[in-house]
Amino acid sequence: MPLRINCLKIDVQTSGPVFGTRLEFKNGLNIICADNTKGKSTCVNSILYALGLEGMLGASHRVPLPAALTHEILSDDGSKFEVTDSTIQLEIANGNGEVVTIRRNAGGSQMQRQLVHVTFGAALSQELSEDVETRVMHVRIPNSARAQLGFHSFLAEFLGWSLPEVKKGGGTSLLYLECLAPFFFVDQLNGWDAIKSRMPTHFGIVDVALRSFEFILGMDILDDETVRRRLESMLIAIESDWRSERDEFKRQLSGTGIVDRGIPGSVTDWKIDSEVNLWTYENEEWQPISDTLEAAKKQLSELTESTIPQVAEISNELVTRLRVAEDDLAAAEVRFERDQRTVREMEYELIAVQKRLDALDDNLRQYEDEHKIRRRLESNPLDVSHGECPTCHRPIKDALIDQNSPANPMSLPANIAFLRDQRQMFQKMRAESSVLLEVKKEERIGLRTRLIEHSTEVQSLKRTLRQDSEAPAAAIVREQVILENRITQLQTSLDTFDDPTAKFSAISREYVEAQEELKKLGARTLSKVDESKLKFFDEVHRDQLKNYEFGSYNTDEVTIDWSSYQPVHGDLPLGLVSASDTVRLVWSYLLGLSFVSQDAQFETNHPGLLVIDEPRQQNVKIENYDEFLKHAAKAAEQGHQIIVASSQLTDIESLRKQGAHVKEFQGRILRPLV
Amino acid sequence: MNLIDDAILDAEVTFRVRPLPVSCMLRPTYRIALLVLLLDKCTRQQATMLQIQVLNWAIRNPANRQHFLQLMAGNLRPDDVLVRFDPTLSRAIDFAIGEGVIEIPTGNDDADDVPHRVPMRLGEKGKALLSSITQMGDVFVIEKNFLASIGRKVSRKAVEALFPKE
Repeated sequence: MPLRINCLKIDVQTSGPVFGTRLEFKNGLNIICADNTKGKSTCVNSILYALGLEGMLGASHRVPLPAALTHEILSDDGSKFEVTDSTIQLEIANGNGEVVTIRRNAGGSQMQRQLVHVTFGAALSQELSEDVETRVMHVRIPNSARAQLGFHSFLAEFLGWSLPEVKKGGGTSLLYLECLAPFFFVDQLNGWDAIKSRMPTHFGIVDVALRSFEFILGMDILDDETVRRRLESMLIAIESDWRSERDEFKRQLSGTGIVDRGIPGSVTDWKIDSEVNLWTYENEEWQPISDTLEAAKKQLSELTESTIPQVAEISNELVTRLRVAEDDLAAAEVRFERDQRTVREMEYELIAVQKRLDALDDNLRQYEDEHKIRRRLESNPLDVSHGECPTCHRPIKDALIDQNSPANPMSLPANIAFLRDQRQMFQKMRAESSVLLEVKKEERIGLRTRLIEHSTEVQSLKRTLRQDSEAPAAAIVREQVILENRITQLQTSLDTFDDPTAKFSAISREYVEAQEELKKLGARTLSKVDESKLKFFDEVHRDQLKNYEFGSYNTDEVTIDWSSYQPVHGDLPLGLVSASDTVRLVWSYLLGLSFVSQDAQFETNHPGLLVIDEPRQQNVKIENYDEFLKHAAKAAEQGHQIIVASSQLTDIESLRKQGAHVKEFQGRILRPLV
Repeated sequence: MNLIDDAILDAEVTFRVRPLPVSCMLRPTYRIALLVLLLDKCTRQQATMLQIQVLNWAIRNPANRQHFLQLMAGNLRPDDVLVRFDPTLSRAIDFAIGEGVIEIPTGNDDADDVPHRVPMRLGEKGKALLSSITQMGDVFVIEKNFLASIGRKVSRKAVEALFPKE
């Protein structure tokens, strides 16, 4: 989707008259022709600034405009005026014929400069009615590329660009517009370095030059890259999902007397046949919750099948049962107390392990400090740092112990490795102890329930024995009630933690699927179309170099490398290239991209715009420069808009014949408005 | 029955001293650097042995740091706290003097014959070391924070006041 610049308008408020200019641009090749220091760069940089793209030049928030727009302006008669504010307006159009006008101030506070006023109409080339909407958007603050009112998210949409997600530091980020700008914008100051060194690196985007190139040429390999990024962030999200589900599950279980087995800490440790088991502590051992439930149900049905006997009938049995129950109670009490003590011991142990870990961390931190200080003092070290007594220069041990003691301190690296080992061991101990403690605590809860059950059984049996001998035995009834309660409780637990295996294997399946998709993407490969784009680019690039009389290498041997997208000689990056040849390389590269994107067989994201400030650098031969302008005219003829600012035109008439729109200025471009 | 092969018993057994892991607090370079930081915290960058011993105890671990701050704020009685004097500190000071990091001025009027009252101060090398450490933002972070939290400089009198009068 092409970007067209219709009109640029600059207004400078001063202590004296208002200065300004208004430049109209046509389709095709536009040339602003004026002598040096008359304001060409001001115009070119104003375009960059209006589009909020000055971040391409660096992280600085300084206005990238000359003093004439920010401090002091000169008029043709030599008088100076102090600048109070300046406004830049830029009317742009996209491929759908939609036109907007952008207004941004160059003066005022940083906050004011971060605002862009977007009017939805051709405010510079037409009279607009008053009800045309103007929206205030922001640039150069975090999130401008994504936020609804971010100017760059608007601009990307205006151009029909859906910017890819790319790798940045530890995460991902949008490929910012500033990273694409070097492909269609060449400023005077840095623009004539090789393209790679012009890429803004301050955003921290990994391989920014490669990703931007791939986006501009609309290469398939970048789509793969985007999918890869998406899958990678998906894997991270699933892993964290796993952890929070696991934590939540454990939180719900804690205190119920049930423990889980089989949920690994990381989703990657879940095997296809893994399952989550719930266990309860019954009859002094852990058993699966389903077994406990079955046993309780069986016992209950046995009880309900028989009729409830009278006390007299079973008094002997009741006495025996009372004895057994009393024994059980006593045993359970001992057991409970022992467990209580064990839990306390384990808690102390955990605290001790933690203390040791803290001490180890502290010691490692000290060793790191020592290492840094040693490195800092490298040029002028202390004598003790290399094991020498500062007074007598005899060797000493690297420790403040009695020098005559037979003990030998470890070397620094060995000591640090030793501490790390220890830390690792203690971390393992901590992990193991906490799991054991957790189980032991649940066990204690189970035991306490049994304890209460035994104690009420004893009481109930005693009461039953004191009952009228003809009455139905209350102890038997009670037993039924207890069993029923227990069954309900177990059943509720089972329902609450409904099929944990299915739940966790579902998460794991998501993970495995994403992983497999990622694996399928395999290594980065260029698609057939990508390859033909690069071949085409390689040819037009080389042809131009020939025409511009590139002389540092034999042009037949200069090719575009398929992995760096940079010109190489043989297999090596272009090394020392003369200053004028660097300029020829920039010409060929940027126009080359323009030619590729205009070839009917390819779809690309090239904005169809190229803004170049003074292409004749480093005294490139004028014939070569003319040749460049010819190529530019050709690229423009096919539909791109190319804006060139130059002071070095030899034959304006012949340029006009080639279709160029040349605008000549005698004197300064910015002049007092009447 | 001969359970152990005689050959094993006859073999010559040698014992070798293995290197021992030691705390970083026992490494001279680390200690000298820490010493410089402590000395900087004392009034006029001068300190008696007692001042340095107390600060050296105070900075050792979180509990001591806490105690010291409370002591300085007058919230604890000195006998609530057991200041441990550290023999390895004297070795560190000896080395530091040898290095020219610390110097003990001769002919100082303040110096009477009580050894722990002889003040030490930063030598040229010590001043350079101090400025390096101060410039490095990523070393002694906890220690620097602690020293900053004391607020004012630690004077000889303030430290002596912590101990019961003889």
